Amino acid sequence: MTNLPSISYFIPELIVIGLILTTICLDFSSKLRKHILPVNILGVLFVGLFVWDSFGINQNIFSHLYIIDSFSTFFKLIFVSTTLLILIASSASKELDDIGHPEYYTLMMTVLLGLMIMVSSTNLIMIYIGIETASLASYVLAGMKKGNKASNEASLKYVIFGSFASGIMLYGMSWLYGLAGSTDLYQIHESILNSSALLEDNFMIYVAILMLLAGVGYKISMVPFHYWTPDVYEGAPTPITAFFSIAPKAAGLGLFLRIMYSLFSESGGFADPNPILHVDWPFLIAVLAAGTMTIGNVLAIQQNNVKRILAYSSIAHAGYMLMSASILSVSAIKAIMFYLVIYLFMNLGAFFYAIFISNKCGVEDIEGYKGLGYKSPLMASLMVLLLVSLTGLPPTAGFIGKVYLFSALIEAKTFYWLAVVGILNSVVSLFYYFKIVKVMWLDEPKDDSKITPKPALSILIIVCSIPTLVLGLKWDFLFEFIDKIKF
Amino acid sequence: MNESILTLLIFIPVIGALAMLVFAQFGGKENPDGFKWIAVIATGIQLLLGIWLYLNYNPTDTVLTSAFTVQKEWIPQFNIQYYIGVDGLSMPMVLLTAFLSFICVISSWKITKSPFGFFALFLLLDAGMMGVFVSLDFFLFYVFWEVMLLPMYFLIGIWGGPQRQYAAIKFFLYTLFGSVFMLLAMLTLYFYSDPHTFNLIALIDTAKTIDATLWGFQIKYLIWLCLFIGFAIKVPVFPFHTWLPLAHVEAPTAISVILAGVLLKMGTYGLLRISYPLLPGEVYHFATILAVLGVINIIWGAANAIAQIDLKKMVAYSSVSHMGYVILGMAAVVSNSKAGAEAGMNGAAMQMFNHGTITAMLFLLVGVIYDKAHHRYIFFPKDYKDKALAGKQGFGGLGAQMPIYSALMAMAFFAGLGLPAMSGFISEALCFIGGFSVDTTFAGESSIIRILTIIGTLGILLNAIYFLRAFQHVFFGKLNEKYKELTDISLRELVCVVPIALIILILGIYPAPLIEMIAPTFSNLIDLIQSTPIMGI
Amino acid sequence: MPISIFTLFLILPLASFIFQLSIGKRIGRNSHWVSLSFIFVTLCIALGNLFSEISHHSDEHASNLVFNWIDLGTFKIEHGFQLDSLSAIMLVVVSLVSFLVHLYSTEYMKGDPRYTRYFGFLGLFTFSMNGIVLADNLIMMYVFWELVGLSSYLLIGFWFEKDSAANASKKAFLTNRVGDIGMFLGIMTIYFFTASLGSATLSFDGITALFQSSFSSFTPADITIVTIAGVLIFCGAIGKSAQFPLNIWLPDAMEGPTPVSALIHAATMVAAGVYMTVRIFPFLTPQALEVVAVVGAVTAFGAAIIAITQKDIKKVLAYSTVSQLGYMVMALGVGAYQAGFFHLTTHAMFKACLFLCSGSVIHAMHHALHHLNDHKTDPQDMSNMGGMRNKMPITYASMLIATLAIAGVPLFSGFLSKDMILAGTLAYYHAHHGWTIILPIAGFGAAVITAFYMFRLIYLTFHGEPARKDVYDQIHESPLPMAFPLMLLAGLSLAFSFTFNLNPMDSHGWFTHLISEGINVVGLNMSQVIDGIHHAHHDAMIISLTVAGIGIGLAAIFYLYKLVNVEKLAGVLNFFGLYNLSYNKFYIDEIYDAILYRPFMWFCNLFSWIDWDLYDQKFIDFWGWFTLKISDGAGYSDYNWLDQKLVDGFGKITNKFGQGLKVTQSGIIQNYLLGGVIGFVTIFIIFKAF
Repeated sequence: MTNLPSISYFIPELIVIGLILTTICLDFSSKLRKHILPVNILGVLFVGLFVWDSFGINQNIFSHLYIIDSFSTFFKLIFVSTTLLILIASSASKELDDIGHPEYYTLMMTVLLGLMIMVSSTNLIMIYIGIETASLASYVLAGMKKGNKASNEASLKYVIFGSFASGIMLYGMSWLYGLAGSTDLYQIHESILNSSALLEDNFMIYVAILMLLAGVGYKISMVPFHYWTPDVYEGAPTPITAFFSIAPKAAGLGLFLRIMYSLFSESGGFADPNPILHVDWPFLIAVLAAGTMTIGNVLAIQQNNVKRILAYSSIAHAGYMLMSASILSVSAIKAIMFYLVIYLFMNLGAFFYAIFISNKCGVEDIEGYKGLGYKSPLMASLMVLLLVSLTGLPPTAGFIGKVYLFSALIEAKTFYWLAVVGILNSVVSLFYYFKIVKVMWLDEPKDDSKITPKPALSILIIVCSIPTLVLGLKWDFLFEFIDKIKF
Repeated sequence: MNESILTLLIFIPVIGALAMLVFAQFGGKENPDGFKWIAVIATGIQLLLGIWLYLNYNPTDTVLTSAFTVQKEWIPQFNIQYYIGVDGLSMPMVLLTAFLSFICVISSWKITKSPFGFFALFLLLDAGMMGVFVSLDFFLFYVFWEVMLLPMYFLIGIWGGPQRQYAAIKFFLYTLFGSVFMLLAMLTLYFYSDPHTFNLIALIDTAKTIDATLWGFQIKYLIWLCLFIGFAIKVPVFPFHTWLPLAHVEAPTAISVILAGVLLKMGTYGLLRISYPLLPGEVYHFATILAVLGVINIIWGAANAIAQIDLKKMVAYSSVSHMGYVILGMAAVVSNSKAGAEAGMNGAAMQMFNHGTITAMLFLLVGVIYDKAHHRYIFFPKDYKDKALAGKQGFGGLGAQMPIYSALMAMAFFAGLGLPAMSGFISEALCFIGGFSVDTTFAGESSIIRILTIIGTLGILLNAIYFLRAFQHVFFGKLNEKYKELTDISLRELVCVVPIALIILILGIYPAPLIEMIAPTFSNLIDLIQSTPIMGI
Repeated sequence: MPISIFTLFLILPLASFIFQLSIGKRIGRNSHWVSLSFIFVTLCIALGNLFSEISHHSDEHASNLVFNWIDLGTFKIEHGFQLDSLSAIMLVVVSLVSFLVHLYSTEYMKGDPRYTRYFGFLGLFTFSMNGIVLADNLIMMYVFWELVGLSSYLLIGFWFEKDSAANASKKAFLTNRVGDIGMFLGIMTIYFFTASLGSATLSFDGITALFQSSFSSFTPADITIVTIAGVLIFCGAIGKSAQFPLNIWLPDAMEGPTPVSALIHAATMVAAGVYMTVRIFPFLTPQALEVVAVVGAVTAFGAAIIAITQKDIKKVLAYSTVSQLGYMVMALGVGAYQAGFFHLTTHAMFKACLFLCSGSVIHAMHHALHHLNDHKTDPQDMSNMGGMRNKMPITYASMLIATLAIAGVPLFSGFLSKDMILAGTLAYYHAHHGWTIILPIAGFGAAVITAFYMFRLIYLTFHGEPARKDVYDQIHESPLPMAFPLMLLAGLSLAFSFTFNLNPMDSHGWFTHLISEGINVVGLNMSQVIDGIHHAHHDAMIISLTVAGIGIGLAAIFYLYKLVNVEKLAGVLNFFGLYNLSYNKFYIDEIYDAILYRPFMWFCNLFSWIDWDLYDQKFIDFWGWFTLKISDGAGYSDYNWLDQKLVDGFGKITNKFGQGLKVTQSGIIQNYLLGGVIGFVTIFIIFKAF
């Protein structure tokens, strides 16, 4: 489709751009400044509506630079919901009180825009633009607490690591371009398939895959590109951390799936069980998945800072999702998408609880969580629910999500060892999630005082907890929804 | 009524827990006794329903013909069903669960540390246990199986003894380690069977067709192994047993009762409900290993119990020993003698029920003395904090001071050591008879299970040693001056213990009610296993 | 008599037990009337049954009142009553001694704080014992077998404040359990053997009939199985009847009240082992019987030797009981079926009498000592007694009669039965020769010794000068409820009671009329055995009369006339350690302690240590620790090792090249990058290698 008609499919992204500009404009007037948050929330809601509306559409736009399909729409919905929840949470977070709001929202919207571009692009250049748009804004967001040394350090580390990774990725892209003479994913696929040289020696493809993986891997904090994660998660303001733990990860996965499937599977589409030219990249992913979840879980055990625990846990969860990604099948993709939805709720919920505690008690350390069960029984119970879900135990959604991930693996009848590694990791993860539960409930509180969160925060925690429980008991509607997505 | 009774059995406790939640908002603060009453009512109704179910239950029905079976869609895409029912295998367990839950609520009357939390979690635990025993869908089974872990973790971790935190997480990690393997097995069964199903009844037929290999093994054997790890940890089968003494000792009395009385049975129940019918060919090959483990359990558990100086830990190890009988009896299914197989399998099922009641009585009684004396050492440990007491006898001469209590304890101990006229004797004897019958299997191979059983009969002696030793040091001898003021067992405690004692006695003298309930089901199960053609590994 | 009447043998004593435990205590002392009357009714029924059995005796008997206990489909266990002459006699023995002991106890146990409980336990015992007697199959017998073990445990430990009593009760139960394991294994062996013959059964008649019809087709392997099964079941008897090597519990069991010793540990329960052997006799193979005979001989002789040197009056009787039980077992082993059971019956009467007499003496001693406020002196030690015949004439007379009976003096019942046994051993030797000579030697040797130590007991207790004059002055004859049982039992120790025949040498009478000479369906030719016994009878009688005379004479020389200084003799014997060997019961307890108990407890403690301290705390928790360490290590190596050493080392090398450049940054982020690079390169290399 040519450019002009394409615009009509591009409305969500345009609204986001509009929001960025509006926020900047609103900042000029001190009177209007207080409307920034409502405007943004409303705007994101609209984005959501339009994204929702574009379900079912399967359209290449902007001359094959960009695609609107259900796959990308699904991911966009994830970003939008995350952004929405984070926006509300930001307003309730003490950490962000002294931060200049306008640029915060501007940057947030920029990241959102970048992420949306990432999952919809079908052209290497566009992909790179998307990644960079999201990344650059993210670097600044990580350092939003200007006076805070840790935050600044986190930002710096993020920048350096990010640019390093995208550098490698860019080199990988140029390598692909050299091989295929095109930046369009489909054409690259075509050329690779028809190249007689590659048929004899697939070394070049290996190199390209590895380099691309570096860029995507860093986004989803895949081993060995995970180093930045704990430092950045710890240093960044908690709402931002929460955002980072979901949205860029989802985008990274979406991008990963698109690149891998459309470039490196035999047919160039989803659900092709054969990797291109017998390049055994699924095995590579399987090993990396095993490494990612193991490193994430194992390192989390020693942590005493709740944000750091959640950071490592997010690495582990990336590993679980990658585990399914190593299987080339539709049900694997569906399992990942299913898991993402659940992960969104349970992980955000846990972060919101951390925000609540850091607001009220000013602590992030696990020691500070002592006896919280008796200080705020309802919230602490919900936190237990969320942590149980993160562990992956019934009757919570986390369990169902994991069942789908493992199912994909077992249904494919390959990588049994990975399933074993995966379940053993679940057991390990119990230990550190329940370290939090333990201090909250099994340890006695230091005093008898009661604490309650701000209404917005408590609503957010409840909002995240309800699906975590409900989807654990009845999840067929969600599955049906995902099932309908055409690839 | 028929249709909904099982659902009610599961969800009455949940409703009770919700009622507590409501009550906690309105007036719970001022009136903590209300929680207990809600718990009593919920478990009481559950017990009455259980009795009603028992009275209307027809033992010759299979789950397919039973009027109580409910089969509804739950998650159609995955073919997961809400499929529940009872047969001779689950019926005694359902009764045991309902009965012990009710008893345990009464026995926990003195809980003062947040009664709301305790009883609400207890009811959730109750629901989970009941769910496990009536589920006929593997997925549902697994959900209930895991749902129990969480309340258990808190019940041990908050209301337990000095090492409660360590005990709670160890229990949790250990059992989760087992159940994740079960999850793998469950998914493998699902995907390798055609059509894909979690329905345990349908899987009996479809699992037969699984024919694939992995890492050089028949995949069915790997499934069996995974399932076995999951169930063995729960039983617990040696060498997966060490979570048990710790958890039992640290848990509050009622929870020890539930742990030993019901939770351990889930392991053997799982084997009988899932591994046995679904993988009969593997049962045949693993029977000898089962027997070996069963005998090790019997002897190792008893030998360890002999060395214990803590009464509760001794009872905990006695559970290890007594569950060994179940495993040994189950191994007898491969016997070439139909009578032997029947004796072994029915013996195992009866031992599950009987050990549930006997061990419940033991733990309740140990709890009684602990409440009064605040310790339960037969001998104080050598490194006891009070140097004057270290190494000394903990009690002594209570027989004269607390006659009713000591009479009940004597009964519980003698039931534990398998004295005739108590229910434990019949089931233990049947397990031995079953094991002893296997000198050749039904497929005509010679087997060492008979030799193992002969070694296992040593348990008859070993079990007597520790019970009598404990009885002597607690109740015999001169009255310990410290306990001159000790009062005898209270009425409330009697209400808990006496019904159990009666069941133990009645089933010991007249076991027919239990046998009639289970025998037809096991007859079918034995036929199923013995009619499976035996193939090489 | 209608079958259902026989359930009263179980119901009445059980009712007594339940009554005493539930409401007895509230009624207090008079509650014993309930127990007494219940047992009396039992006794009356038993006597009535015996008389009807005598008057309409036939070898046909039905096992009836079958009740389906366990029915699993194919596997069935049924309980039923075996009603024949054996059980008829046994029921009378049990009910009679039980009744007399009840009566005796009303006086003996007077003032005990747990008086009613005591009667309750007696009721429980009577119930269980009747169960054994009536059982028509092995498993039902095993059930009641264990229950008598329970009641024995409760009664031995009745005075549980005494540590010795508590220990003894435990020892009795556990020792019996060792035998019971064997019995249980034997039962299972028989069950599956009969099942392999086509009709699984455990009833005595059923097994006998089955073997009778199929013995001709037995293979040698089958015979081995039957032998093994027989020996295993006999293990139960070894435990219950205190045969070597499980004899250790019975002497300790004397810690219980003396009437209990009379009832349980002399007359009835210990005889249950013999009774059971009688029941299984038809299917004990000759090989199994050989084992039985040897066990009996060793026990009879060994226990007799120990009895010589014991000072405690009850210990002497206890070892004498062990010895006499050995006789019975030996009798069965050599095939003298009738003699074995006959001795069981006569022994029940005279041994109960002996125990009750000793109880009477102890009771008197106890009261005397109590009166003197002396709590140190042992009222059971014979060296504190002497000359009591003047003070306690009834007791003396009864005890003398019973002693004459046990010594095997004509006119008294023991003579008849012992004589038959000795004839049996002689006959066995005649038939087999070789090593079997030890059987008659043990038999006659034990007979000498028995006569000797029993008269030693009589002389030390009732004759001579009182050892303690002060005590002696306070001794009184026991009251009627205690004296009456003594007299009655003494009367029943006369040969006449069993024969109604004045010829002291003739054992024929109602008893031999009732009890057949036994059958054996697995290879023992009974008619040959019976012939042999008939032929040996004359010799046996002469020898046994001689040996009894020698024994009594020696005792008189040593203890009555004191012609030999016993102390000196003991000293001389002890030069070879013989005296101490006997006095210390051949050190069997010590040996068991050293080679079984201690190592066993050591192993249990070791197992516990392995299980918990090693396996759980070190191995299982090792995984937790290991994961933590891995986590630690991974975190550490990530940062300190990979970053600081390797990567920094890399950096340092770089640094050397760029001397002029100052590193202004922390270096850490570079390290992260380098970590990433190294990881990247590693993967690359690995996957290229694939």
